[in-house]
Amino acid sequence: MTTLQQGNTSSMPAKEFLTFVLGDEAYALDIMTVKEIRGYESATKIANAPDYIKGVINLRGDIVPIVDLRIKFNIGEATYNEWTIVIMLNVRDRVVGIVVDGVSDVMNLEAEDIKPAPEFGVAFDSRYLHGLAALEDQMVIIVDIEELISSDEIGVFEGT
Amino acid sequence: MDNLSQYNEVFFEEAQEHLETMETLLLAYDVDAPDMEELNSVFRAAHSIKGGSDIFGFKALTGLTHVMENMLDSARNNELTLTTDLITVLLETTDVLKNILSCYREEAEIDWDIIEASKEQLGAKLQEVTGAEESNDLLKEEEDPGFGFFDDDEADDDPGFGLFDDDEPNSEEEQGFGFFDDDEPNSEEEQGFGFFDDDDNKQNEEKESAEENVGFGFFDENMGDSKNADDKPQQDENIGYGFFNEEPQTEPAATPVENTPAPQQAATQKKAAVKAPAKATETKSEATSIRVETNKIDKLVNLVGELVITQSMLNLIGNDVGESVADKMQSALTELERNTREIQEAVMSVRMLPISFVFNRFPRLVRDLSTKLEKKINLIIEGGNTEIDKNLVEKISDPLLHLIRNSVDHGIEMPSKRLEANKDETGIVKLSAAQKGGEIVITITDDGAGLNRDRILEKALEKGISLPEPLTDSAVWQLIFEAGFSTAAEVTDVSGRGVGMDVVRRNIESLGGRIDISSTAGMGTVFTINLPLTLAILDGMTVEASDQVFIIPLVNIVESIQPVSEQIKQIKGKQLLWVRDEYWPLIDIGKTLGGNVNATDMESGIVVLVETSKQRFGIVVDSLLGQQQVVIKNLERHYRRVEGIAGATIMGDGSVALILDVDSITQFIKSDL
Repeated sequence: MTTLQQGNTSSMPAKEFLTFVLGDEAYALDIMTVKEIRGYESATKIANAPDYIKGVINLRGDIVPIVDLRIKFNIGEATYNEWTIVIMLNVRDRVVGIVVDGVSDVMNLEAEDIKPAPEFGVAFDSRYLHGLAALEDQMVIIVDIEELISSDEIGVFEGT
Repeated sequence: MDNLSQYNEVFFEEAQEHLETMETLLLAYDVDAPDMEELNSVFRAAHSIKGGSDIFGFKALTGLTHVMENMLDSARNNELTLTTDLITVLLETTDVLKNILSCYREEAEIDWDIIEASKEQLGAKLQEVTGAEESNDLLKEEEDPGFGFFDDDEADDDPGFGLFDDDEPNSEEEQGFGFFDDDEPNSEEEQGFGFFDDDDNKQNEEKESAEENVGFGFFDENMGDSKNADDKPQQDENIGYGFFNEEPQTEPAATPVENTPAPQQAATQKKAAVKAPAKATETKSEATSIRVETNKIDKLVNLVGELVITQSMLNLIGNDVGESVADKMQSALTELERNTREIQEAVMSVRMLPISFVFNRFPRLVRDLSTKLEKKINLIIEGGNTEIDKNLVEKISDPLLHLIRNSVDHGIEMPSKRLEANKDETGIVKLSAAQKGGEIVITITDDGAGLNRDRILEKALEKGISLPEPLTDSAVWQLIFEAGFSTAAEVTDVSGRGVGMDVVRRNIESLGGRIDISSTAGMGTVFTINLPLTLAILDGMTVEASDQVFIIPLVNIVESIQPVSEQIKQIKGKQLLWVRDEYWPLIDIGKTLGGNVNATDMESGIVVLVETSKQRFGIVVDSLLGQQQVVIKNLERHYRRVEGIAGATIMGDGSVALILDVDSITQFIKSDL
């Protein structure tokens, strides 16, 4: 209902974002892309894949690749323990898991809450960012996860 | 309308099926020996499409099928005889109907002009034929009432007895003979009875033990037999008599004979005779099959795969169970294992279809092509009931289509040329399928001119294709699979458009199959395609290398050996294995695919010797874990393609193991080691 009411005042209706942690930084992604959240389990290595692609796991019969964003963007320490979290994403009809240090919250944001990101100080290239948002005192970086995961830079998808 | 549209897809599928039935039946329709039951089936199919399309509002279909239905109705009511010419028109109409159907399906614009043209064509034919039929009859009565009607039937050369020795002895004709021989057919109505009376007695004497219902029993049998009755002239004779004997009793005045040629008359009776059993089989087949969406089956296959994995996980746990319950646990697990395997097999078999689903479309293709090219071709199909995976059925269709076109167009020579070469005027294209072990072998054989070695070489040079060394025949034949290669002297309407042979080979290889050619000048060409039975399951050898598990497809494996140091030779720093009087290049799979920097110690390692269509080599692994059937999972569903990897599977403990693509690993031979 709130979505409908707010629809009048902003160009984009409010969306829910899942916030997650990489190192010391807080990020958020569109919750509609999230399939499920699970613990880290060791993956089967894939030949000639970059180090941030941990390999593939069996997700109830589907063979799904796991990408460690911490390694890819060199944020935090890529340690794996029982608290390491994998967010399984549904992106462009594919399932891809991303390894993060933790998930914290779900937040509601309207288009006007998202400020353009500056060109500095963020691990992600601005191409993959929606912008920045403030959650209480903390700055949250809103990632365009669909764009990021399907990019050549990650290389999970064929020839995009 | 809208609430009906949810059923549109069902209608489309059914209509499609009906159209295919029509096509198949029309193709099989023997104008000389019309099978009334087949004609009825065609009529029913047309009628169903008409009815359905009317309800759903697909008016374009309704109009055309209506005209078609009229023609078929006339045919089954003996008001007209279906000639080859008419069958062609009917086939063309089914094509138009197929087009309209796909237009509706894709919500494209309907071309009403074509429909009208088609309607008119049908109508005109109908007019023409019904008119001609009458005059024909008049003609017959004038010149030779007895045999006149056989003019249509190709049997007029030797009407009296030739028929019985002939290759086309069908009941109707014989009945006809008896009929006309004995009787001057100047007044049909009367002729029938007088004649039958005669025969009646004769028949009774001859066949005292005849059952009450001889007439009917006879016809049924006759139906089934009529096609292979060739060698049984005596029986045929009997059939003839039996027919006449019983006919007047069962259906005395019902025969609507008004100048109707005898075959049709006979056919009507046959129709009456088989009507009841035919209906019974119809309902039976409806009850024994259902239509299921393929993704439901895929899901089922997937779930069963999961079940198999869970079951083997339980097996692992079961090994650790304490003594008190161990025995019970083990026997329960064994039971579970057996049940799971059976479920798996049953579910897999749901995906299997007879290959005739693909083969059935080729008689039409060959018929059309041979007409167009003015060649005489006899298409022989064998092994149509060989079952293959549904996915394969769909994907093998295009390559086969192309190969058959190729055989018809390039393989079989023109009739005159064939006669010059002392061959039968009619060329033979044979399409056959058979299961051999874990593979399906499909062959396309023609008895044409064979591949022209010189032309191929000439063409290859012209195209700048590098020639293989040594230049063996089979190597030369493989050249036609090169991109842009065509041996046709000129691009004809039939070939020279669409896919080339390179696409054929690529398609087949993408299915995990391979294609070979053998050809003899003047004798013909054989294309042999080997395909895996299913894309879903694979027999593999589980190996371990660099702490990772890989599956090597069993079909590629020659043997596994533990080499001794004398067998390992070095060439330019590369290792070769000397075994079976051959040097085998080696690939350290742990290093190549596992990313392990340290090469496996040859002395302790094991070499799996493998073979592909291109090369033989050895795969170095740490250990062999065992042989098992694995469910192939597509890696590319969620990830990009990986060189050297054909797919993945899920092991008993739930972990993922990669399946090696032995063919594409060969490329690592040059760079590796």
